[in-house]
Amino acid sequence: MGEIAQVIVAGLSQGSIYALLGLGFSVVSMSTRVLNIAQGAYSLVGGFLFITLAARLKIPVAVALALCLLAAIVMGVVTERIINLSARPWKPVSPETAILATLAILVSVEGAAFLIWGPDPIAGKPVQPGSFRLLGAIVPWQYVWNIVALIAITAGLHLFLNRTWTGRAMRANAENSLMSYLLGVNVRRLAAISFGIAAAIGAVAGILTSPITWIDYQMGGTFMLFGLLAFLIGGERSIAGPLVGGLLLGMAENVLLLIPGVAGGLLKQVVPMLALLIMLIFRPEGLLGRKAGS
Amino acid sequence: MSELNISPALGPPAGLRAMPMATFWDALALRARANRAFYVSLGIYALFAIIGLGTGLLHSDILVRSGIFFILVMGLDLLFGLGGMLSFAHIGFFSIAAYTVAVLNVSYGANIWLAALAGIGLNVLISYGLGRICLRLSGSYFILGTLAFGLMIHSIIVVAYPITGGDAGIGGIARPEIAGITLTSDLQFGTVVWIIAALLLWCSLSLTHSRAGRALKAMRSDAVAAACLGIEEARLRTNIFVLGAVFASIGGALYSSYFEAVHPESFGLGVLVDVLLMLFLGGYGSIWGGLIGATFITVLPDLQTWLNAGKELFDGILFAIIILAFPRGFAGAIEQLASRFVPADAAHASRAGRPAGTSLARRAAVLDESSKADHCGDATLVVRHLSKRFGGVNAVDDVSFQVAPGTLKGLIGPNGAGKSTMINLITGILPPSAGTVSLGDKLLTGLRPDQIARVGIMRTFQHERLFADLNVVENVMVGYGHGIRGTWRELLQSAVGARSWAQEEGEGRRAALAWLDVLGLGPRADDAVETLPNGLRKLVEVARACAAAPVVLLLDETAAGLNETERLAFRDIIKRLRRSGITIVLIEHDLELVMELSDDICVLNFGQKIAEGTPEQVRNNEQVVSAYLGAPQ
Amino acid sequence: MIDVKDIAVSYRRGSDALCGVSMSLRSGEMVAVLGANGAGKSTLLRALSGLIALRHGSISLGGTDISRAPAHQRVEMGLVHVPEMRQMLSGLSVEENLLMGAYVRRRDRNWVAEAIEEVYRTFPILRERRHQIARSLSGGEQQMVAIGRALMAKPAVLMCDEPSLGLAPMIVKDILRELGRLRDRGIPILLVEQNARKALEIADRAFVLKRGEMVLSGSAAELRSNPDVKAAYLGIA
Repeated sequence: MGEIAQVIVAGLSQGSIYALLGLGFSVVSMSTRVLNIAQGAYSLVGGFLFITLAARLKIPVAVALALCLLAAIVMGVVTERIINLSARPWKPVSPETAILATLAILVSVEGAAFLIWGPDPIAGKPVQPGSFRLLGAIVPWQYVWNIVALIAITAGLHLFLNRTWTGRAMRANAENSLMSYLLGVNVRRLAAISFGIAAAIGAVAGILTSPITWIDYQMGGTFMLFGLLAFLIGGERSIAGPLVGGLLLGMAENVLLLIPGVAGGLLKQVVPMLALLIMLIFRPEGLLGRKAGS
Repeated sequence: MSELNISPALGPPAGLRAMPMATFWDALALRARANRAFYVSLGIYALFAIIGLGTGLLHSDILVRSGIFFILVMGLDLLFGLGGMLSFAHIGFFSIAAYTVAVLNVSYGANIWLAALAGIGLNVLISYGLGRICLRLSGSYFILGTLAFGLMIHSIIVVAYPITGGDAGIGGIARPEIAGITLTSDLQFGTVVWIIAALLLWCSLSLTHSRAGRALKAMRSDAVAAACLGIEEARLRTNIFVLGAVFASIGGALYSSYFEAVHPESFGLGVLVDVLLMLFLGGYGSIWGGLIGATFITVLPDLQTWLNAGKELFDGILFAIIILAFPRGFAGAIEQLASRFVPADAAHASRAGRPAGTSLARRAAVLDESSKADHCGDATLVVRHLSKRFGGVNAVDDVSFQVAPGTLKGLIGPNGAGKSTMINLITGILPPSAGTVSLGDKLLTGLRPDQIARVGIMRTFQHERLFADLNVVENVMVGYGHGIRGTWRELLQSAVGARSWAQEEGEGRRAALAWLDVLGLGPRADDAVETLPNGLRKLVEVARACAAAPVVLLLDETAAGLNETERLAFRDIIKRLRRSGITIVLIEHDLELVMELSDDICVLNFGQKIAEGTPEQVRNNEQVVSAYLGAPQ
Repeated sequence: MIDVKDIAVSYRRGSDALCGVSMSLRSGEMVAVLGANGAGKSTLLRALSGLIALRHGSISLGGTDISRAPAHQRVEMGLVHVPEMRQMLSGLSVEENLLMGAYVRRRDRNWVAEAIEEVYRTFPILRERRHQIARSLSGGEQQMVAIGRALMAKPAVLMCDEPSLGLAPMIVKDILRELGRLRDRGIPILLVEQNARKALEIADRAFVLKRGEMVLSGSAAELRSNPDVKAAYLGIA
């Protein structure tokens, strides 16, 4: 009983992080059809920067958080500007160019992280140390914060998208970009905003990861991958999609950890990729998505 | 073996068939001319290698490593530069082959060459499977699928430590032996690597400049138009994907044998980025650009040791700059420079294909003669109760008509009447909801577009679909010869550069030029497609369809957007085609033209046939007039 | 209200989709743009709303030159384009589609509230369906949403591209009658239509495009009885 509860709790916590990473992809996909490989870079920088500011420089947590978010937003907007340098309304950037350019950005950021913070993994301090017992499972407070963060950010996104004009414009643009343009929506500005939001969410995910899993400069790729998986499994252009995808991924991962030895390790590594391949074959629009063109 | 008897109704003009057969040396000369820039860079590279190695500035292992990565990049260039498939699985295949050689040699004592063959074989099987899965996906999803595969392989390697040695890897791999000599020194191994690389380069260049290469470029530009010219997309794509995996396998086997050990670190995301950087730095699509890219990136860390810590950052920024500012890389830059200094190249090449000393009128007359001589098939195109539903809308509603062989049928109707849908149904682009289409006794419904094209049904498109990556004459050449099926036999023949290749190329080019001349487009033969105004582009599409020797020709709103001169050229060629006995279906909004040229006309409105008959009958039909102008009060 | 002087538009180098087109639109009049498919009618609207650049000539709205203004700016100035095929924001509800129509006027809360009420009064069936997803509406209802959406922007000039396309005759009658009413309220309307007869019934003036050039123009009454119109469509000399 305790083991099951442990798995569920760990799964929800880890799944929350994956869901946040996936939301980053989802928000960007609402304004452009670009897959932003650099999404992982925002989480990487968020995590490292927060540790440096809060733990090493002893800056108050709230201020450190604000600075990290700011840095991430700037990075996000810069990413958008770089990709769309040569794009025009009638000539959007090609998927290959976008993926390669954002890959280049991810690699550059990882390289910079290596130079600044060195090759060794570092760990962050948990927001609230200690743990409590729940139904036979040991629940570190950090787990709770992860889940709370997910709920808060999801609620915030929902309000933004449904109650503000800019949010509504973003949803409109996701449905029909041409018509939105004709309705007076400034599509470029919208793209920059969505990249900024996605970067901020990514940074939060990185900050939350650092106490649990030591982060090193190569984790940019890992962050990106899990976010992509959550996003694709859940289905694009929705908020619920990455949530479902992320939580499923988190649960599956922790269930598989129960299987000991090589088999377990193998499954843990292989199953996510296999799941992605299966989804791409049978249901490329994701579990919650809608088939293109319907 | 071939599916159907394809009528040689409009084969190459009779007079031209008497040209002398091309020899192997002609083939060589043609290829040498096409690759002038390559020989120059090869020369510079050789110079650089001799100086660097001779003075000791560079280590001799550079020779081997750059060669191995050149092979790797060549494979990726075939996949992406030629086939338009950006496969992130490339390193995955590289690692599978490397580990296969390692495991077979160290654990089972297998001979290196045999182990290499095993690695290649394994990858061929796996790539067939992966190809089936991923090639159905488009754009970003294809890249993601291959990325997922690549990362999966990497994870498996790390985790399956009983077999692969996990993080520690496998050591103690032997060096290969040739004729009793073990390749122990860098120079020995390097020579073998470069001989292999040169052979592969030769084959890749041949492939690029062959019909298969042209078909791949066409497919990459516009898959639908390519299918309608008889190119079997699925098979061609899959086979090129497998070919790319073979290149990666060769590289992987050489890699593990040279380093005598394998570690998972050598096959991670970082290596993928390195190889991509090599590809784009060198210039994708050139094949030989990989030479420059692989060498530069391999040499870089050696030349600047201070760069070591910042290598990844440097790589990333370099990559970003290349992708955004210089996407065509080094090879692209060289080609641009070359074209500025050697513009005579183009004229020379085109003259090589043209029959000497014949005037435009004589060439046109020759076309006429040969067309009359070979009579077209006698099959009737029959459309029976054809319907197509989209959601709740009947785009085509129970339409039936026949087109007698050798006649011209006009198909008209207001916007949205279902005319283009009808053509898409006939050519197999859309499956019908009901009804059948047949040519003579051959049922066409249910066949793929490329199969229908090979039956002899050719079309043009309402919104012109020329292949942007090919120039004018190359576009027309894609049609010639009943399309390419992408079989291994075709690919191998193209890669080896057999004599028949040169002959085919020559014939195809001559036929294409003949058609362009007839349409008055001769002077523009070597121009890029984007430099032509819209009207001329539509005429090139007509030439392309005609070069394919069709039995039935479907022309979808070709006259729209043509100016007066172009319209007259179009009208003339239709008349010429009529004389040769081809069956033609003409969809037009230019009713003057339709009335003038048609034997009979079928009128559609809201997906239904509302009138059929001679031009005179149709023009005076009140329903037809209402359809166009709106019903009277 | 809107003045178009000698404009030329080309999609690709070397061939013009429109050439030498001049026209003007005044308050309270409806002008119909007629012509066969491919003649350049939709291209004209796209040039006016800013989706394509002018190769030559100028456009001015209420005296201000907008030839180089970006699309969203032209919408803010009141030039509203209702494109062909209705272009719904499919996953959004009817109400949200209408609200997006008012995007350029979003800061004026009173206007938005009033305007949406007005739209519901004009098209009562939309009020019934206000929370329904746009995708699930019938063609006619979608066209009503498209026009309602245009009204939400407080248009100074309204341009409609083939509103009758794909709709049943009864609905077409209703839609065109609504447009007539808008014209009566003073909003100038540019109506692109393939259905020449229907268009000439409600328009005040009209002109015919053929291969990008203006070949005929005059009052609707004149063109209704002009045999050249039929010729321009049916290609009879």
